[in-house]
Amino acid sequence: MMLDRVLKDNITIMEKIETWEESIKIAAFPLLKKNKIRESYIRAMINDIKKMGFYIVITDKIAMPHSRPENGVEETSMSLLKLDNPVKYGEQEIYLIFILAARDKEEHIGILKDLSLFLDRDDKIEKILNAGTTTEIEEIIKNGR
Amino acid sequence: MLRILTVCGNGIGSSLMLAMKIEELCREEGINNVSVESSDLNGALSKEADVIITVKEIAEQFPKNKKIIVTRSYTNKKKIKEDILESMKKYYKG
Repeated sequence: MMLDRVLKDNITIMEKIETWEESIKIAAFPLLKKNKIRESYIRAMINDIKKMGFYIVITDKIAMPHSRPENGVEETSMSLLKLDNPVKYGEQEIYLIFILAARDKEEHIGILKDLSLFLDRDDKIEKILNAGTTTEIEEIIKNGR
Repeated sequence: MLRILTVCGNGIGSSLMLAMKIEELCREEGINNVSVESSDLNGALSKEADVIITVKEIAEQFPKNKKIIVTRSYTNKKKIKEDILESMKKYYKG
């Protein structure tokens, strides 16, 4: 499975965050640190939401902020922030924030397929929501789908 | 042939996941002869499609004359099925 490899060492857990903007910055930080994305990509993800609304809420409790490749993606990658308490994306309470960075329109399709299969499993989502450590989350995803 | 267009803010993430789920759903329901394409909001305005499927936030930004089915989720197959299957069958002519 591609998803576990791509998320490895890119997972953050936090108890609480006040704003959705902050949640995106923190979720994306591992990718920024490894130069997989540039600062401009984080700004672009936030601006896209301000312009077009919270369309990146992909299902209950879960958001997948992303922007276009040309806005600062160096390498196709993904990171995850799990919150113990929800942050509001508009009206919706979000616990899991998957940052998607796609270098072009093709390369990330495998990752999205894996994520889409994974998110179809309510029991797996529940396990991640209850996980206490990033290693635990990695294991759930690895044994997932 | 039913041409479906899934739409999200920039056409490479959420709309692509939704397109995958719709293809899966159509296979399971024996709905053949369907094409599913994903697009960003701007591109969608100029694309030919029989029906657009997207979430509420995006649907509100389309002109009123477009045929749109709204779904609550881009990834949860059960919810997508509940939200779109009946309406999709109406547009589907075999």
